[in-house]
Amino acid sequence: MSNLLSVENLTMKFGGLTAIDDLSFDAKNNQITSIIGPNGAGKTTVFNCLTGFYKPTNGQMFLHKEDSKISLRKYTDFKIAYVAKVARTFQNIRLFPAMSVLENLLVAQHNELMVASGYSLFGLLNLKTYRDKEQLAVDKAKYWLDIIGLTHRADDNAGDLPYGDQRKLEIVRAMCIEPRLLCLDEPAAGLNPKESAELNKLLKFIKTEKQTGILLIEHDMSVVMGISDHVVVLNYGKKIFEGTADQTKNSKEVIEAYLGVDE
Amino acid sequence: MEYFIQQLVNGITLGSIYGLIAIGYTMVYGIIGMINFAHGDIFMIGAFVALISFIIFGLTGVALPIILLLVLLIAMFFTACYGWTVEKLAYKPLRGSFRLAPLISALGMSIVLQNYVQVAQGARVKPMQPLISGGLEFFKNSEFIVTVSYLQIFIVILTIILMGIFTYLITKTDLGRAQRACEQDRTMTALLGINVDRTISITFIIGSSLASVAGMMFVLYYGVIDFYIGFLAGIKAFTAAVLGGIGSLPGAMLGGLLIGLIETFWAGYVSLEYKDVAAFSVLIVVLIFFPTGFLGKPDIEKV
Repeated sequence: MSNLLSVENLTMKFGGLTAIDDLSFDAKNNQITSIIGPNGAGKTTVFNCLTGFYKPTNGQMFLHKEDSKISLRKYTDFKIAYVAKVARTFQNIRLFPAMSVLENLLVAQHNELMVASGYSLFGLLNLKTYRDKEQLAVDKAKYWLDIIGLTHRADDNAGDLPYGDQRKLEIVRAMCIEPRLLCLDEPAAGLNPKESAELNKLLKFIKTEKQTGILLIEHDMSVVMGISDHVVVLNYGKKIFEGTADQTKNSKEVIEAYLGVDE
Repeated sequence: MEYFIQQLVNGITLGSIYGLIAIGYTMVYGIIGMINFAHGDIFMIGAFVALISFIIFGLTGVALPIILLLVLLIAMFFTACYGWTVEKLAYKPLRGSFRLAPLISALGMSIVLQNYVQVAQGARVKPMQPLISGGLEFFKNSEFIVTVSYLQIFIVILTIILMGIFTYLITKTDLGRAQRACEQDRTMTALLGINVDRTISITFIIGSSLASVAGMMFVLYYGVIDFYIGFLAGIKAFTAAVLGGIGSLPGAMLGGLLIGLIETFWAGYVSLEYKDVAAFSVLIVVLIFFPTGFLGKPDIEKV
């Protein structure tokens, strides 16, 4: 299995506070890599560095393409998704609540449509080339809606969906940009056990069928242990353990970080 | 009764002009949450570009419909360039700054544009002889003859066409979809690979070209313009946008129409001098009962 993402000596300091301290890890293609750790361990900061929200104080992040590699430091703003093909979600739901479920998925395909529509000029004239392209985009959206079982709600406002469905919609919306790396920040937060199980199924499907590497921050251990191929444990910005799910479960350092040291 | 119909026709014409300007205010507010106070002056620039091109084409002796089309396109193009430049110079560097900063630079930009036109074109009013004359007359047997001029018909029809195109653009095309996405969550829109800055620029371009059409109508309708027309027309259109509910596109059209009607009826029935006061008084009364305007969505804070 080839490497997809390598994080090398990543350090992020906010004034005197070191949020991430010399962190290095790899994530592989077609694998789910989980980042876990107690609150304030710096997990979300890692995501913010990867997706250009923060400029890391030190260190490098590389995304490997076939035989070349690109540095994620160079990309910010929309280029993270458009050029580097990294998609992410947030801890809170960030759908477009006043747009329909289908439109939410079409927004993610905007760049292809924009070119096809000649910056909306052909779209305004309703030319056939544009209509064909739009049909393709709608088909792709329907394909994903079918997978998460929301086809019947395609025309409802995204804000009206139940919480669990909104979570799933957010993940498939990120998938509509055809990412190479999908970063999910606590996707199972607030889900009931049945919804978490559905989420596990969706993530496994994305991993195996879509050849996308997934980077996952999660507190729900049933999700982490159930689907992770690789686990990275952070505490106070430092990596304290790295290994498979089973190894992590039995690691002394990890248990100490979560439960404290027996005195 | 005949007098009433005449005022109605006049009001709808004026309302069309206000509505076209108001769209620019409401779109920019929707997408970046600021009031673009320079928009009235963009409208004034549109009027000047239209006037200059009318004079140039008037000398060539081309047929009238072709002149109108050419002037429309030229005014839209040049004014869009101005709108785009204003956004790049005065607002983009301040994005991410505190909310009042772009508002202040908008006021500054408005003064800059006014003075620029004053210096470049002179402070005197610029007249233009009527291009489209004549009209249809109704109720010929009564004592008051209702006249609907061809110009008024032209203005209203052009407005309806533009609003139609515009509504289609926002609701159906993917550019409109991206604009609505930016309106709701700019960070997330960028993370989906959409160039937010470019989407905002396009919004300014669209708003400015609509304002330039209003400018051309103003030149044709009133026949005189000066560098100061942007201020009052801008404030009225802003009032229209607030009245209809700022951020709402149908609201801007409705608000423009209402302000136009209020102003004409007040001028026709009460007194010509206080017509501006009437428009703003109505705004105050409406805001007391509908704080978000007629079609505006109330801001619900999610807990």
